[in-house]
Amino acid sequence: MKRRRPGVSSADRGDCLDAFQREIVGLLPRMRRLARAIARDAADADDLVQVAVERALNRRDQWRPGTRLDSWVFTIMKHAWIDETRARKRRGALFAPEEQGENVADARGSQAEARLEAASVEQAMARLPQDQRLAVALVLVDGLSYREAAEVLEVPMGTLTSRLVRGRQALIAQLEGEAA
Amino acid sequence: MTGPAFDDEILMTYADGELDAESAARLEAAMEADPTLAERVARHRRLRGSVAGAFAGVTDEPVPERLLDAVRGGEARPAEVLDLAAARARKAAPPPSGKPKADWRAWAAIAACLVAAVLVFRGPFPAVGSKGALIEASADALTARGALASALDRQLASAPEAGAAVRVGFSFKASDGAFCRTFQAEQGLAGVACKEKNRWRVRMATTAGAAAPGEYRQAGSETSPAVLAAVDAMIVGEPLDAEAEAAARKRGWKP
Repeated sequence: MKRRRPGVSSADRGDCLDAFQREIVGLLPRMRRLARAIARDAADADDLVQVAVERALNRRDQWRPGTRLDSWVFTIMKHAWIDETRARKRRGALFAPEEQGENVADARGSQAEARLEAASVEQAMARLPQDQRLAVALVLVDGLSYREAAEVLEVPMGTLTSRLVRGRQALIAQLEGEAA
Repeated sequence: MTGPAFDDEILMTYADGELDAESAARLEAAMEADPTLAERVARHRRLRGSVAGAFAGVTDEPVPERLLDAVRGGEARPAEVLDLAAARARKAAPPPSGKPKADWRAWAAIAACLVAAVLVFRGPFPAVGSKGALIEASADALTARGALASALDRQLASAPEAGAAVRVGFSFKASDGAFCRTFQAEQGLAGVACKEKNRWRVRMATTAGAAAPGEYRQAGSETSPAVLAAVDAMIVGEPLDAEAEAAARKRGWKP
């Protein structure tokens, strides 16, 4: 429902949000966290969230009320990220160098050790193939069930679990030595 | 048990609590006999913990205002090809670093808006007693009314009143000198109000922490993160102790 009052500029902080927009606002922290796990660079991650928000609002007619908005928005985010990585390949642009990924995850953590661990998790995530990273991010970072994650990625359950297990094996190998 | 019966995928599925009960029982029996199986399961759990932990702090960060702007502006924007380069170009000129003050304002505006929307679309807050609405929206401000206004006037955070419709969390002094108090009411409504002249102006309110109807969010100590963020942006010094609070009440909360 549009409640844009005439004579009120869009910069006006009193601009009201409808229910759909409010739900998106509520999802922003989770979207940012997921994006951080996918995009490896904090600025890229927020850009990704912004694109996903804009696309979600442009396509709001396609969302069926009663279905889960988070899954729908995450799927939009996945497409946005895949589009972006394709565009970068076309442009020949390199990803942010790995060192830039350091301290991106939970940079406000108070303990140096936790920060170090976070940084090494982040680096290990960045080395995963895209498909595996998306699966790991949805299940381990956002905490979706396998079924939900498969729906977001639009793949069968078996595909999701095999991506997830390969991603995890790679992470374990990197983070815990060769023991995996 | 034969080796292939428990490949890494099954161990992972078990570690994630997604394995069916029958297979889980078989695996548990095998794990008792074979500690290396148990260790492999534990490794999956450890990984889950460290990956989740590495990104957990992100949800506590203030949301950059440009993302809130994107939500606000979405409706009016025509369909267009969107990519990250374009998003970058639309970024506000100064990078969204530094104090989350602007961020707090945006949240507060959205929250206040939310309250106003409830007032506009559903009338006064339901189930808050015969007094009706707790917050009145005018052109330029939200003002505490009824049970909220009287709780803000009378209630001491240090001496909570059982059964009150509104609970005051704590009191503090804002940078503009006003006395401000956090509050919680039914329906998950929570916020911050400051005494200005003769009224309690609601500077921030949210229903984000909405509990089930008729329920409080929990004990008074559990102030919602949005409210705490608002307080962070306003507070000078520490929250008032019991003595200072009582003294402020005696002066009618005048600075």
